[in-house]
Amino acid sequence: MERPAPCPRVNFALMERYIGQHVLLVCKLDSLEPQMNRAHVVTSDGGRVTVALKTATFDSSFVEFEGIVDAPNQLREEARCEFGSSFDMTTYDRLCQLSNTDYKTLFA
Amino acid sequence: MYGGGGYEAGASQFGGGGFVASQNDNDNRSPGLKHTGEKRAGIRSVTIKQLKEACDKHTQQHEDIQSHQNVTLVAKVASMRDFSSSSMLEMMVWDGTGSFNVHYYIPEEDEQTMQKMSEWREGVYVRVYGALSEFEGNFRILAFNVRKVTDFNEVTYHNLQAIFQHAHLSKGGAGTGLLTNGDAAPQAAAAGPMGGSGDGNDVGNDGLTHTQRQVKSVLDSERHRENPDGLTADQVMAETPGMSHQQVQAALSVLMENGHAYTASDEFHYKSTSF
Repeated sequence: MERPAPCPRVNFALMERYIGQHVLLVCKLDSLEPQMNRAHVVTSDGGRVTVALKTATFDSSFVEFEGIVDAPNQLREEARCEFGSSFDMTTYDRLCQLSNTDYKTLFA
Repeated sequence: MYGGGGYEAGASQFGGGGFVASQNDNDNRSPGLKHTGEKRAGIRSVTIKQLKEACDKHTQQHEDIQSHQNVTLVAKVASMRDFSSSSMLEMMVWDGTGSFNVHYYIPEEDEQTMQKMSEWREGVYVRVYGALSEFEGNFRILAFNVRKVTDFNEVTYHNLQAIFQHAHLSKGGAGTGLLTNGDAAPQAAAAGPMGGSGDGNDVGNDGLTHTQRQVKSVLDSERHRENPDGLTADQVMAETPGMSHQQVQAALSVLMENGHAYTASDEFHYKSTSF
């Protein structure tokens, strides 16, 4: 299966740059609306995003979503990878910033 | 199984030539990179975009990557080809910057190997260690180790390591292109929880526990370099007083898993990848 590339790693502040595009968003689950297949999540820079889910069941609190940015605070899930119950969001946020600015050429 | 820059620094100091060369020797279709000169010892952390650009003869970018013997990347398995009737496993990995082929020769079909390989499924993050080589006109990584990522801080760590090494080289750091513990230390510190104190069983900044480090130092020692057969666990134990056979064996397994050691004359003799 051909995967979209580039698929940049983003935080909340970067999402607005990629409307309509595929991104990777690592976030912490805040709350779920299973009936609506939606999750409310907190991004690595503390922003709040609503994710339209494929399935509303999770085994861990940190999740990497691969999806399409529908709006600056809305993501449509294409795939996910659960990152477990412990993840360093502060360092990850630094990676998001570096990979979209000074070292973007290594990633996109 | 990682811990700040030191770990990769340690890994980056190994040549790995003999080990990788032996795998290449088994594959007559793999002539390796034709347009590079002598390869540098060491391991380079890369994104797939960097790899693709390094393999593109038109762009001629990232020549420093081609000049390295080995590369490592962290990526998701995008697809796998059934390996039930083959001794070679083929997978496509994807890290958001691109997709790349990885070929892995199945060393032996024992239960442990099959168990490990059963964990490599579509959508799973893996750490790949290998060498770039050309295969039927396309570049691939001929992997000598693949393992499933279980602590996802490794995704962050790897990408920061790729940035760090790129910055280090492009700003004219050490001529060898290899990191030293000193170079890596600030990043390890910045990584916070990804580093460790290095005491007791804690994982240190080189990604190893004290026990594993002791075993590695025996394998790395000058007097064992010329021994082509490698050392058995018992021989290592004789040089590590107070350590049980089980501890030595466990440490050797971890060193193997992380590319610090490999089996030489048979599966019971271990050699360091550092020389």
